[in-house]
Amino acid sequence: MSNRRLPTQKAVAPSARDVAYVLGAMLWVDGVVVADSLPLTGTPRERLIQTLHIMAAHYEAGGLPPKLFYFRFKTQQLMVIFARRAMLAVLMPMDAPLVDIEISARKVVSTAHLKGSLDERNLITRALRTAGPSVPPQSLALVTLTTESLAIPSSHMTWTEASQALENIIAKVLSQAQAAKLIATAIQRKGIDTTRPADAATVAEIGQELTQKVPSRPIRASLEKEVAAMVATIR
Amino acid sequence: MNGVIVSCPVDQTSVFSLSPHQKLRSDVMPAVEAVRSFIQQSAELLGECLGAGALSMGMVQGSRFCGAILAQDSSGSARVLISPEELTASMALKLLQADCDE
Repeated sequence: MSNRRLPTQKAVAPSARDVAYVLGAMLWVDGVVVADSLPLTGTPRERLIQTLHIMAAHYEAGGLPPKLFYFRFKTQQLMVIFARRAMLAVLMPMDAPLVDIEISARKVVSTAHLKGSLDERNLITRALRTAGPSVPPQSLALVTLTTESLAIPSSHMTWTEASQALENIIAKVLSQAQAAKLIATAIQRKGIDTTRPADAATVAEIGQELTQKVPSRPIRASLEKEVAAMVATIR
Repeated sequence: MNGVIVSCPVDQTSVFSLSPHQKLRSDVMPAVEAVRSFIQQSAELLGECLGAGALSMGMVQGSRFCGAILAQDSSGSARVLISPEELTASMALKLLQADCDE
């Protein structure tokens, strides 16, 4: 028996940074499309948008909003993620790294309503700014126009907006109502005047207080990163 | 679309085998049927737009309920997950596939 060691083969994971793992995406804020790179045009595109809204409305008929729809077809995957004011649809090929894309998509949708919140390092943000592979030239022009509106007009982040952004992050591990209550309690305890613009240090402090309540270390670390990314958008 | 999903409370995460002639437990039947109905109808509509082939997995996640279906073969057999937890798509897929391997 030979003692010679066989060379080990390391599995190379697909890089989530590669925009090729997203075929296209569409982002709505307050019901308005603010970014669009879906590789669909004409009737299929209109029907897809209509179908997504029907699905969301149907789910909401039960009294609570949806958080995520996911459909894995033979050749493509579709993920739709919801936050209170935003909705994001992401179309992926079958080899897309689902975990990484879901994390990136959640980051985008939870803070999409905030000015300057779209982080260029986020693969979903890049995908939203990059037209899909089969988009005809006339639609590329449309994409160019819509990406101009990615920065949603807004003044400094208010405490209401900051609370909402924190709530969207914390609501991934708690119910929306629990997250809202904890944030409201923290704001009240600190005697914050919510009519004034939010300051990054205090928002970070509250975010840290909340994430410390999460027992799971990996989940806590993920939430801390999201809070930090959100705080970084506060001027 | 029929069935209101969030009115189907479940108290624990469960994965079931479904076959065309199998009867479900009465306590989970409403939730499973609502999920199946929602996903099937959504998949038909989405499939027409995307032209992406047959559905192998569908999932719906809300604040208090998660439902997912993984198709196993063309005979109509499937695995269904219902849960009161908030699961990621990858976690739901993992749970459905892990159960299939048992």
